[in-house]
Amino acid sequence: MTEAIILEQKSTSASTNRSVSNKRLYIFPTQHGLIFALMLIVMLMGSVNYTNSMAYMLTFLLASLYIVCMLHTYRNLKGMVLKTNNAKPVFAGETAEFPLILINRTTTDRHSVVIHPWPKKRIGKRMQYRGAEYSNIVPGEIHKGTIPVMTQVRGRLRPGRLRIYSTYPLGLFRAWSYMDCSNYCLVYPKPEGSTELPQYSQDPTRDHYGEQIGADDFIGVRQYKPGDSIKNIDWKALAKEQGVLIKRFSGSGARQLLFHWGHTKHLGDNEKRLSQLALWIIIAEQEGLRYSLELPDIKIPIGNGDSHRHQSLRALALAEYGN
Amino acid sequence: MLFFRMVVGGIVFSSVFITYGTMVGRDAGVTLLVLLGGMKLLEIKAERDYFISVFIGFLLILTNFFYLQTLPISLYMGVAVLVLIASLVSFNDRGASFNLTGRIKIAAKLYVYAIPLMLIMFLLFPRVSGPLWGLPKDAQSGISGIDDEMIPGSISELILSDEVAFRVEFDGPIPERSKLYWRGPVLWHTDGFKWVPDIPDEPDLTVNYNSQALNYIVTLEPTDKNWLFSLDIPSQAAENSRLTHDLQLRTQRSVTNRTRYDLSSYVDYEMHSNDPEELQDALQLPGRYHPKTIELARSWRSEGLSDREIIERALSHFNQETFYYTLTPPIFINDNIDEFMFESRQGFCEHYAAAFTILMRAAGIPARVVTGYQGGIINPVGQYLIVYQRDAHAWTEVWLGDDGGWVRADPTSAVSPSRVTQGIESALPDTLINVPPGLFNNGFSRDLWENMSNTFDAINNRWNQWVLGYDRNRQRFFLSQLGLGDLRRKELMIGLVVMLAICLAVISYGMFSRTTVNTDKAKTWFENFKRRLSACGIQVYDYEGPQDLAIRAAKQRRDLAKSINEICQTYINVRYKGQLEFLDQLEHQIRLFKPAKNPG
Repeated sequence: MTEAIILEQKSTSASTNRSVSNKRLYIFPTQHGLIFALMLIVMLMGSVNYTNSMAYMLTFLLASLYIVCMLHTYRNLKGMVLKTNNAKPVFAGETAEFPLILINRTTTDRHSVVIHPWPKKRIGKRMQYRGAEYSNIVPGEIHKGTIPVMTQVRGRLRPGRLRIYSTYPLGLFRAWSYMDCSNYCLVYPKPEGSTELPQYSQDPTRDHYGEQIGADDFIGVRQYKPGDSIKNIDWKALAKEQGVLIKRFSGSGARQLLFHWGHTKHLGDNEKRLSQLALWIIIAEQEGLRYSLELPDIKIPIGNGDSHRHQSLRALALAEYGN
Repeated sequence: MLFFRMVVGGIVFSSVFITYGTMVGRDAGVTLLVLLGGMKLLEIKAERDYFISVFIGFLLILTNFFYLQTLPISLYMGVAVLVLIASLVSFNDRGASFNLTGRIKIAAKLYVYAIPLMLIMFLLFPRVSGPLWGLPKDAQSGISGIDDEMIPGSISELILSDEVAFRVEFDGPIPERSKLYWRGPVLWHTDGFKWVPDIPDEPDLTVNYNSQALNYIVTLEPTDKNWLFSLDIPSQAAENSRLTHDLQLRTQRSVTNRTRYDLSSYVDYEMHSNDPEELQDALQLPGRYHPKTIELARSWRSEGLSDREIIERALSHFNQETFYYTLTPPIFINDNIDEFMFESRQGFCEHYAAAFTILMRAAGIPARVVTGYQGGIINPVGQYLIVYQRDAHAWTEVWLGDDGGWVRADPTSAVSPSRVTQGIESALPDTLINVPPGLFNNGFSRDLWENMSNTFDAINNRWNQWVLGYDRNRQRFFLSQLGLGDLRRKELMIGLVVMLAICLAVISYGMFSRTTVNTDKAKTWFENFKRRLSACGIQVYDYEGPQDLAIRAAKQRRDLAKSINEICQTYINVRYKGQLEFLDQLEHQIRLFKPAKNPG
C-alpha cells in the first residue's frame, strides 16, 4: 500500500491529487544558524562602533548570505515527492526496512536530504534508526531507498511519523516536513527455544500419514501445479526443456507435524511460547516438512512453503493472549 | 583531555595578557581570536567544531578590516569569505557529492544572490556618527604626519613617506603649484631647539580678500591629531572645527577616521591682526641661544634698512651665499641655528624656516613659523590633487604692520625655487621618488609608473570616498541624489526593509517560478494526442499503455505509424524515464500531429 506526499507544491492535475497529499514545509535556523545570527549582531555592533565601512560590508554580506541560504534550504525540499510502502516482514530484533521513493519533480538538482522516523527513539544507547540519506537528487529521477528501523517486539511495527529534512547548503537553516506514515512492518516473534521438534502430532496414528509424498525416496515426477514447493522442481528436466516437473518422494520417514499451543505449556511465558513455535516453523521449513499450527483462536491447516510459513508466522506475530 | 585543554587555554590567555597587558582592545582581542581559532582547529571532533572554526574565520576577517581596508585587501577578504562559505557547503554535502570546484561554484552562486541584498543594506542602513562606547586606545596607531611641534629633522623624516596626507577636489581649476600652501599648525614659541604653538584663541583679525574664493573639498587621511589643513587662509571654519587667532583649523576630537570637509579659501589677501599681545609673542627669542644669527640680523637693522628691505636681505642671503637644500643635513651639536647659518649651511625646510624666523625676530620684525604641506600632484585620471606626506613643508609669516599685515615669506624658495614651483620631486634626487626597485630609472619607466600609480590612486580615491568614507553625510548626499532628501533614521529603516523585501521577492521569483515542472504536462499533451487519435477513428482504451497503443494504432493507420511511434516513444521517455528535456519535443510533435480522418 503506497502512500505519498508532495512538499509545498500545489498539484494541478486531479490524477496526482488523489494519492499525493500536499504537506506544509517548515523552516527554522539550526543551532549553528542561531550562533551565526548572534555573531552577526556582534559584528554589526563592532562595525558601528568603529564606523568601519568594510566591516559593515562584511556584516551585510554575511547577513545577506544568511537570508539567501534560507531561501535555498527551503527550495531544496520544495516540490519533492516522498512515497513509502510496507516493509517486508522480519523477526523481532532484526531491522525493518521500509521502502522509500523520493522523486524530484522540479528541474533543479537537490542535495542532502534525510528522512527518518520522528520523534527520535532510542533502543539502549543506539538510535532506533539510521535515517535514509540522499546526496544528489537529480530532476525527474526516482530515488529508491529504505528507512531502517530496529525492531524489538513482535506485532505490527509502524514507523509512525516520518520527518524529511535538509540543511543544505550552509547548515544554517533546517527545512523539514512530516509524513504520517500508516505503513507497517510485520514483526515475527524472535525464534528462540529448543531446536528439537515435537515428536508427536495430535493424532499419533496419523503421524506417518504422508506415504505418498514425503522427502525420503524418489518415486517419480508429475506435472507442476501452482502451489508446489520450488524445492521439488526437477531443474534438470526443466533444463532439458521437458517442462516444469515436480519430483515426488516416498514419504515413509516424512512426518506431518502439528505445532500446538499446548506443546509449549512448560515454557510458561506467552512470548517464549510464541518464540518456540516460530523456531519450530523455521526448522520445519528448512527440512521441508509439512506442518500445521494450532493456536487457541486460530488453526492453520497443514502445509508447507513460503506462503504457508508466512501465514503461520503472521498468526504468531499478531497473536494476542493475556498472560 | 579536559586538563590539557585548560592548560593550553591558560597559556593562550596569559601569553596575550603578558604581551599586551590587557585582554580588551583591538590588538589583544585579535591576537586572542587568532590563537583561539588555531586551537579550535586542533580539537575538531563534532560537526559543531567545524562551524565554530568557520565562524571564528569570519570574525578574523572582520578584525582585519580594523587594520587595513584597501581595495586589494577587501577583494582578497572577499575570496576568503567565499572559501569559508564553500567549506560550510562541504559540511552539509552529505555523501560528498561535490568536488572542490563544485562547492566553490555553489558558494559563488549564493554570493551572486547575496550581493544585491548586501548593497541595499550597505547603502540604506542608518549610520551613526561617532562610536557607540568609545574606541580602545589602540584603534589608531602608526600614523605619520605633521606634528604641532617642530624640531630639526621632524619634517625631513616625512619626506621619505609615500603615504597620502589628503586629497583635494577643487570646484574649478586647480591653482598653480606655487600657490598651494596647505596651512597646518602655526608655531610661535621656541626654546632654541623646539618650536611649539600658541594657546589657541578666538580670531581677532581684519582680512581683506583681493581674489575670488576657491571652493574645495578636502579628504583628510586619519592623523590622530586635532587639526585640519586648509589652503592658505580659509574664510570660515569647516564643519566640526573652529578657527584660531592664527588661522589654524582646530577640531574638538582628533581625526581618527578619514574625514571630508568643505572649505573656501583665498590665496590673495591682506591680514591684519588687532591684537598687540600677539605681536609681542611673535618677537620672542630663546634666551642665550643663536647669538651669531641674532648679531647678523641686528647688523642689518643697524644699517638702517626698512622691514621689507631686511626681509629681502635675509632671503638673498640664503640665495647668494652657498646654502644647500638637502634631506640629510649634518647633525648640529650645540646651537642648531648658528651652526646651520655659519658652518654647514646645509638644511631642510624646517632649518630655513626656523633660522629665518629667528633672523626676523632679532631684527624686530614679528614672525612665526607655519607648518603644513606645499604643493601636491594633480591626478589627471581623477582630476583631483593628491598631497603626500613628502610634501610636508615649513615656512614663515612676517608682520609688516599696516603696510601689508601678516605676509608669507618662504626662505626655502630662496634656496631651492624649484621646491615651490615644481614640487619636492624636482628638489630632491630621483632615487628618492617612488619608482619601485626593478624598474629602470629612465624617463619611460618613470612615466609608465606615474600613469599606473595615478590610475591606481584614482581608483583608490573613489574607493575611499564612496565605500570607506560612506558615512552619514555621504548617505545623505546619496539619498538626495535619488531625490529622497533628508530621511530620518526611522524612515531610513522602513526604506531599508521595503527595499530588501522587494529584492527578496525578485530573487524568490527567480528561484521558485521556473523550478517546478508539472510532469503532468506530458500527460496533458498525451491526452490531447489520444483525442486526436479517436477523432480519426482509432479507438482508445484507458487500460492501454502507450506502447500497446502505438503498436495497435500503427497497424490501424499505417500512414501515421511513423509519427505515432515517435510520439509514444517520446512520451515514454518523458514520463517513465524522467527525461524531462524532451518535454518540449513531445509538445512539438503532438502539435504537428494533425491526421486526416481517413487514410490516404
